[in-house]
Amino acid sequence: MNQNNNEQNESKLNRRDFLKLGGALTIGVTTLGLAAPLFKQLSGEQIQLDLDNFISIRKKDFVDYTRAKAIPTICFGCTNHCGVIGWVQDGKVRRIEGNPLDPNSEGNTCSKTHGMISYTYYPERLLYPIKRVGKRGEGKWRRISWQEATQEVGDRLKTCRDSGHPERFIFHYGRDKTKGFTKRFTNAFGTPNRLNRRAICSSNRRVPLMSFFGRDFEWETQDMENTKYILNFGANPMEAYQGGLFMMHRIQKARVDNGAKMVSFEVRPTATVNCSEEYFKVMPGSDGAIGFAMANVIIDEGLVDNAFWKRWANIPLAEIKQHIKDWTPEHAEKLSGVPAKDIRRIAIEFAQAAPHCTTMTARGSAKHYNGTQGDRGLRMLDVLVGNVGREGGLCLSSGRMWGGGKYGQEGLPSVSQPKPKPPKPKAFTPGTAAYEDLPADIKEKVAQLDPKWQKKYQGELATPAEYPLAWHWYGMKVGQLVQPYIREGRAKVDVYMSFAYGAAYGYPEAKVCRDVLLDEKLVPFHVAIDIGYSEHAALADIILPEATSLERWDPHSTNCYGLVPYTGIRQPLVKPLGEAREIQVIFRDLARHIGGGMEQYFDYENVEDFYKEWYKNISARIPGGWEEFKRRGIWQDPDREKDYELYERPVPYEELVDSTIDPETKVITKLIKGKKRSVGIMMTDADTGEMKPVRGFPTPSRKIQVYDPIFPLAAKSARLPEGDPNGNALPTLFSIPGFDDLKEDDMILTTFKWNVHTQGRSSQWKFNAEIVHTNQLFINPETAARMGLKTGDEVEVTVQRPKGLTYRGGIDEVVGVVRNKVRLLNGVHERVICFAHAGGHWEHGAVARAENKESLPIKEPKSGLEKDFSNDIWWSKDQGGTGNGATAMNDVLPINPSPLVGGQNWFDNICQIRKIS
Amino acid sequence: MSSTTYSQKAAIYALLGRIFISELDRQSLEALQEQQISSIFEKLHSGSQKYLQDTKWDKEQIEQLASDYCHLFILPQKSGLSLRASHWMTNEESANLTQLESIIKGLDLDSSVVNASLAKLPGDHLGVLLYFVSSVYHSDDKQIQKLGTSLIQLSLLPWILRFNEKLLTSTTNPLYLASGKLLLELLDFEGLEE
Repeated sequence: MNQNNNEQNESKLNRRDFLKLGGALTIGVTTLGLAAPLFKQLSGEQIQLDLDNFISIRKKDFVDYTRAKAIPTICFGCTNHCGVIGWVQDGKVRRIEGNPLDPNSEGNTCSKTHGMISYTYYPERLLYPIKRVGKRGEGKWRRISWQEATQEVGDRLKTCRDSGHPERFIFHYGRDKTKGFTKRFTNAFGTPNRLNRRAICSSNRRVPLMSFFGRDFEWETQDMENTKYILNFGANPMEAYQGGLFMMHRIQKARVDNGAKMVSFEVRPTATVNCSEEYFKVMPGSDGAIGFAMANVIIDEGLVDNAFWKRWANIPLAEIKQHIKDWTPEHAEKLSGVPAKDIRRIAIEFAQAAPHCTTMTARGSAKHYNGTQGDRGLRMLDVLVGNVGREGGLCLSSGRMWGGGKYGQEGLPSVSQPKPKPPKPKAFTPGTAAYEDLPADIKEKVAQLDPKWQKKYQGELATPAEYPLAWHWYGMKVGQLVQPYIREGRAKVDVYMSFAYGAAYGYPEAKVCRDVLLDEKLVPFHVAIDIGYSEHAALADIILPEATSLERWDPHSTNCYGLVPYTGIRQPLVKPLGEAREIQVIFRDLARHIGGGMEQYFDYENVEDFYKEWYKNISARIPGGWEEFKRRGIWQDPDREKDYELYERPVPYEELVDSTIDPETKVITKLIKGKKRSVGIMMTDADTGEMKPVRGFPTPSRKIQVYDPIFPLAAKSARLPEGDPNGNALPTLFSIPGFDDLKEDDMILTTFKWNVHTQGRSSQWKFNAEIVHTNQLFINPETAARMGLKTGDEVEVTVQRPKGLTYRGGIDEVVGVVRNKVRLLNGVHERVICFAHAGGHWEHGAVARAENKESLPIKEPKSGLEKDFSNDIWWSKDQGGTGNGATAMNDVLPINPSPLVGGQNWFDNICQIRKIS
Repeated sequence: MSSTTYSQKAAIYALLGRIFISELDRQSLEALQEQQISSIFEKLHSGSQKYLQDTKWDKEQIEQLASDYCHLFILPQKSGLSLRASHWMTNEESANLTQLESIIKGLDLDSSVVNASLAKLPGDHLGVLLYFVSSVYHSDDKQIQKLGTSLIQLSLLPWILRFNEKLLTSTTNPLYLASGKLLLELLDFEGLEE
């Protein structure tokens, strides 16, 4: 021990000192509270046996399968949520593999699954409640007990609730897959402000789907394994995409077994591009132009499935033809760079493969100022060729939680939260305390809303008046506006609770978020619930450590790419580490502390009992019941037919009782729980020619709403100028403001997600950080040559504030400047630079920060024993590596919500590059 | 080595276990003020006796010490350092640790004398490991006592030196600096005994 030349290793104590100290302690230890723990039943034989086993363990055999126990659960590594099996040995999860019973993943997994082990056991994980003792954000804390934490947070919440303004409790979450459990808490509390990050993620692409096909189909479910042609507009299922892991092996199967062809339109060479038969570099924001051009070709070439269009589209084909006639392949070529001849050829190939063909869109096509309307144009391609809901086509899966007679879920056992369920928070209507608390200018905005939205209005955070389509179908909200709106006084806050949330690092213009959280006048109290010490949690007053996904319960359901609905259960494999607690326990205890009726909704002691009740109808369908369901982790009705053509299924007789049929539209409606709802539509039977009641689509017209009057209604409510293309009822092509007059040196900055990471939230997962820990700036070699750049050069990127009719986070023309190192990459669009938005963390621990032992005197480890958690971070700058990427770039990305919808336009960033070394 | 020596070493391991396992309360701090104990601390780090004895240890001072503990040992901050062996040891070494954790967790802790949070801590926490060594040394069974050396070699020696090196640069708190040195010297003392 004393061979190292350090001052501290010069012995200062001798044997006598030890005996003296030991003696002093032996006399008084028990009474002074310094006693050693005593182990009951500690026999020599027992401990020898255990230690023999301990010492003889075969070091490289991490899992001993003769002793390990396999427990299925649901992965939380990313948004896919695959069924997995964890191997638990000695009370620790040692390995995770895929659950072959999961009909989506079919037993496949990815590196993020193993990240769960990293984030559960990383030694810097937060394991105790802590309370700040310095200024907010100063980094000074002390540990507190759960009793103290519950008392303080509970008191704050109780005061807020008792004040008559429960809406001043803001619950802001990142990825919440509790399937409504946290909503149970906020509803019981009475606040509508359960705010999410949907706008950051995908609302621009969900709106076209919900507008076309209905609320139940906010996410597409292509029948990939049976398709023969895939048109991919900016989706990347091979790397990062909701459902990607479920799609990738099906896509490959279709390509190999069916000879399917995939054509990708992208701005950079993704892994999906690399699996495509053809790849076209496109100018960002021009995907819609290609779609409209292809629609023109399909119509002109007589390749429309006229029967399908006539039966299910809600507008005559002639009107669409007239509307899009100018958006030709030649026009699209000018905008996108894709040759007109190729657009023509591919459109024909696509239509000829129908119905075994499908489009695929994602952020690449949708996260633009014109993305919602552009994606509507792309969706129209599926309707034109009649692939919707058909084998090999763009299908619609009835995947969400089953209960309450949702569309397409007939015959499925109801899976829903135990009763009693709390009522939903009330709308802010004139006369209510919440409404009267609104600033005058906001009341004026609310008065401009269409009456249907006035009745639903619940304040600017949950239902922002300028973005009615963010909450028309359901509460997608506009997450990137929460802090800016609080800054402007559009909403008042008593208690702000963040739940596994990272806006202070990962949101556009993240500094705005940090500034607001640091202002105790705007946010008097911030409690963060998280598994780690994130940049967001660092700005809290109290942090409550949460159990990880390997330590807690959650229900699970999602759309099934095998098109047969299924459900699963996330269950704890091990007990929460340290003093971490499941959210179900945290909220139960808070609800009981707050009281006032809240406690009745959290009347359980054992969390498992709560979920056992939740799943009682599934258990009833399985021989072996609940225990067998837990053993399998997944349930699917093996006899259920696939979700093909749900719209043609007959409306059951019992639903027709007391229904009425609109003589003009043929829509069947009936009163359900006091509200008039449509349940189907009368359509002509193809065989008999008779009118029959069928489901249709869950839209107001029960047809596919290619024409949707909700857009002009929203534009009027939000006071967009008359004729603004965002408010067009028909899918419409228009340019992103500023893109038509780009200067020669202007570039477009786009971002992307690494395949082994989950945005910025996985940077502390060592398993994953070891694989990817950089975010260089990728650029086309020709562009780089023009600018005199080569790989390794450092550049400064200046991002301009975008234009257009939407909220702006500031008034300066330049949003910010960020530095990064260049990496040349063939296949990147000549006008584009791109880098991953995950990098540059300043909290979250040594791995996320890519630090080595900067402060340690030993710079060269002398033996294997001197390797450690920090030393293993070989990519740290101390070790000659790249560090944790460039400066965090999210500060320079502008807050840029899409008009009406609010989805963040991540890829509209005009910028300039300057070489600095 | 006599049983008396083992029980004296057990007491020192327990003392260190208490210091590292969680924030100190008034009772523990008053125990450390005792002349014979604080004089040893003074030998290890100059100024620590004065710090222990002259500090009033009222609510404010105890909270300040708790804040120092949190900053040093709980938060993953730049100037913080983890108390968990898995932070410092290689994966291969940690595989052994996991087994050790299971042994510790499998034993029935007498909660009447153990800090209540001990049972909830990860098994690779320094405080838990020190308490475990202490327990082993407490036994009258010579076979069990000898296992103490194995435990130290497997769970402490691989990383304590580096832990102390970083501790030296991470804090100016005399109590924790002296405690780190005491641990180091105790392990050295174990080596001399062999």
